[in-house]
Amino acid sequence: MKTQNNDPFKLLVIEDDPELIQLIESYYKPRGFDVDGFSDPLLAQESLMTGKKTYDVALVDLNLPHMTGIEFIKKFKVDYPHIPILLMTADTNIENAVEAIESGAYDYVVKPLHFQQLSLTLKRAVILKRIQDENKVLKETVDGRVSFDNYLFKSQKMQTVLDLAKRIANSTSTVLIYGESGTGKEVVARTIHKVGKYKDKPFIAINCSAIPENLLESELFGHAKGSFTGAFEKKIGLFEEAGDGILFLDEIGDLSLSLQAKLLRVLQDKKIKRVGENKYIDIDSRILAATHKNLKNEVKAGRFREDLYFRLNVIPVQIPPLRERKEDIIPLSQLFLRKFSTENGKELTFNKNALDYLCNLPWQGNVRELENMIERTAVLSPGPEIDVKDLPQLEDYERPDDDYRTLFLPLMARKKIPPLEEISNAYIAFIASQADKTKEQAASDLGIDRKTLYRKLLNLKTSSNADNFQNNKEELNGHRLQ
Amino acid sequence: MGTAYNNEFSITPGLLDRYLQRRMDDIDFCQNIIKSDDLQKIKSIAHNMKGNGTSFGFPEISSIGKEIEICMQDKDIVAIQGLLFKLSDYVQNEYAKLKKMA
Repeated sequence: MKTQNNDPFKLLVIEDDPELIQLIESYYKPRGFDVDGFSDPLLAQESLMTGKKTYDVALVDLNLPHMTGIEFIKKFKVDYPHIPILLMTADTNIENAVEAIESGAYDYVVKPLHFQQLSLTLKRAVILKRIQDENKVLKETVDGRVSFDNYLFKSQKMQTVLDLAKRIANSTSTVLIYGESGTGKEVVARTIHKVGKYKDKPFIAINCSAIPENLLESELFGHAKGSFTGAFEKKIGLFEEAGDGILFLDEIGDLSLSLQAKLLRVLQDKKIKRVGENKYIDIDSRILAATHKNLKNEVKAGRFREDLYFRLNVIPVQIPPLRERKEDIIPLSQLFLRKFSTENGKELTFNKNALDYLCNLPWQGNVRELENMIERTAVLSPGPEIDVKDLPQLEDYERPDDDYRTLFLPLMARKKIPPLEEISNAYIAFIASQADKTKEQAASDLGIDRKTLYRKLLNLKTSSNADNFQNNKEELNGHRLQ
Repeated sequence: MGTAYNNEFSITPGLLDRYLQRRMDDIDFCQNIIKSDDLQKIKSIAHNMKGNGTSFGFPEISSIGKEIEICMQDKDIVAIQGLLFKLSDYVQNEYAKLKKMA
């Protein structure tokens, strides 16, 4: 029998009869098992304490010197709760078996040993262990998605966000969550749901940028049968689906102006109207919204309704980017590595150099980028130790084309692409306005001489488009931070 | 000659040798202390033999071990002595067969 990652199956045998240990070894070793036997439980404990070896399953006799098998199991389960134990006993007394299982044993086998039967029980124990491992990872993943556990976030900045999320969890107020892409805006929303009075009520999430406008309206408010081509059935909208729970509107900044007006109406009146129906339906759901955009700038640029902005921004929550909370990189990296190691049937660990390296990457894509990178590493790395050379190299993070592409995409989404001069001026003004830069440094960074910079800034000040320029500057600033 | 419980499984003669020798030691030990008050040790040895005999291909050892355990409940010393003689004969016989094959 082999483990999931094709290593020999490691069996620990604790049995006072040395010949029986040898018998077990002589049965299992030729079958690919790695068997360690101890006739004294104290010697087994000593060996385990060195930490040099771990086991997939332990086979423990009931009658042992120095302690009973039950006593050994109780101690063993404290230190090695993840290793399943099978108790061996020649006693058919069911009370011992019950006590063993209550003490943490997975099952018991009755002596004389029937090796085929024992093998089946061992196999079942290993499957259980595998399921438990996978379950643990899944639980951690789900918990990671729905809450901030301490092992996930070590930084004070995220602790502050968590504290705020807890404080507002029982309120009915609208929350607007800000954060760059991949920072975990939905994590915060789900935490607000999980820790407060809404925890037993629905949590419905929708990404407003992922659905075309005409479909989004139907998604949010529902529609009547036959209200438009393709509306074959009546559809309940997400507001109704959320009931008295939470509706999470992700990327609210991408909502069209017409839908913004409808959403504003819903927030004011607490009523919705399905597409194609005239009847108003009362709704009671709490709204959480999130965006990676600077909504103030969006309001200034006329792309977001100011009244809706104020209606949503009752409780603003700002999630810091990963590069501003480097303390979180290691716990997150290790969490993701555990998750993807298990998924790929490997046992991988980072060495110190790899962790140092991870802490110093820019993480423009934040936690999502970290997770993706570790998934890739877990798939490709032969393991068991991950070194810097196994991780994507820094130059992969410094491809200007990719950066510019990310920077320009929001501009492409505008109705009219801004002219080159407007962007150029905004960029020059932005670089020159950086508090930590002298004008000489700014000019050097821009690749122009100091006089040219002064001249351009002077032209901008006297420009009749100064207001427009200021808006664009802030917009560019906002996009740069996204 | 004992055979392993599993037909696919052949136990090395060396291991069988050690196993039978240890049982002979156990029997000697039990015969020496049977008249003392320390019957708990005999019970423990009988229990072990009950548990391991069949695994080594000697169901008779398991069977006699079980009988001794039962007699221990009534402290039937005479019956236990008889079972120990029976066990001794059986083990010596098996041991002789093993040596003959070697």
